[in-house]
Amino acid sequence: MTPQLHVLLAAYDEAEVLSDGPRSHEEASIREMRVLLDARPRQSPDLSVLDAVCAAADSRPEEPGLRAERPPVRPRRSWRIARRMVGVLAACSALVWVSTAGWQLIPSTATETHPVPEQTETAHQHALETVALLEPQQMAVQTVRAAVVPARLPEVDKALAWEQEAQREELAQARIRAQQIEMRLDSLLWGEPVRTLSLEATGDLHHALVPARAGTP
Amino acid sequence: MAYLSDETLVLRYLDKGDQRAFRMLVERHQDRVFGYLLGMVRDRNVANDLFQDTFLRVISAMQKSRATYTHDGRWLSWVMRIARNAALDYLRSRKKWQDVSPDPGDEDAPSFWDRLPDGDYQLADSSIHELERNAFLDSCIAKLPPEQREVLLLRHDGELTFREIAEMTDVSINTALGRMRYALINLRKMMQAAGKSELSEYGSL
Repeated sequence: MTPQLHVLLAAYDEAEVLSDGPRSHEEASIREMRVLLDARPRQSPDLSVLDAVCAAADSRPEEPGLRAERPPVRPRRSWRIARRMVGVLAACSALVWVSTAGWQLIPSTATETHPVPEQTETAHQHALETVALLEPQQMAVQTVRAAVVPARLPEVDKALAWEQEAQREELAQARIRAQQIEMRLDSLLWGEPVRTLSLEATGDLHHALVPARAGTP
Repeated sequence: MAYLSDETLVLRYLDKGDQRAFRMLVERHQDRVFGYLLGMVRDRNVANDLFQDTFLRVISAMQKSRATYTHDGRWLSWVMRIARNAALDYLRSRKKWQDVSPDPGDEDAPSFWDRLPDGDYQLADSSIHELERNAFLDSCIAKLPPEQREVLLLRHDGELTFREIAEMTDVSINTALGRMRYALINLRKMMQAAGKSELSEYGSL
């Protein structure tokens, strides 16, 4: 380091002053400039900027010191299990609803008699009044159209009856499944491992739980 | 309330989430950081933006698990380094940062004084009657070459040591001191040329 630079360091109190005549003169000149520069007024940022910075520090996402105050993880996991069960229940409910609705939409067979609703009777009476007002030619056309419509075959009725029976069985199975799930959900404890629905239904789980014989490797 | 060091406040903020500690840190050093930024960009609105950007970077870096702030050095020095990066990013985007300072060890190199436009003497002469001394001094600092101005601002506004400045600007301490010496020489010449009589008693550097 040159003597000139050392004088500069000394003038800023970062080194010891050298006892040299000419250098002390230069040091005094530097100190004079230093006083002038230090006398300049301080500049501060706008208050809104300062507030924005502190607000950003307040809203920081990760605070290591506060991690211990967070809730335990177990309720989260149990909530996931319950949510999964609710999803299964919703699917089963939708299946039950579709089966019921499909069963009601199928037209009744000849062997079954259903009470005629009041609205249907009113509509039928209105149709008879309309027919009485029709011209004879129009009546003839309507009679021909009715004759053209083919009557339902007995094979079709058998197929519909068989399909209806299958849907009833499916509905009964779905109800049993829903009841099993509800019972399982009620008895679910924290931390109990989740068993899938397929294992419960097929019974494979019971085979897997057969204890091994003593002495068997 | 007893005086708490920067390190203590930093630890309170990081370990306990004490927001008041961080605010105290910012309020303690806001003049240093803002003064440096304002001296570099010479626009108060831009300096405000850069100040906010600097401390957003500081908050983000402090929150990371592997922060660049490793508790080894002064917190202010670390913040000033981030402020410098923000200022240089801005100046480079505006193409206002170029190395025009001569090598401090080369006495034959053309001086800053030779590169000043001809009108600067008259400007300084007329300004001395209109502006206060401090404002005039600021205008003189604004005319310094970027590297000289930066060292002077880091030393006087940022209150960093020359060793910290050398480390921050990635130069040797001799280079940092040489830039400071040239900055003082140029400032003194400008003020003497403007008729500042109180500077003449010690002569030139």
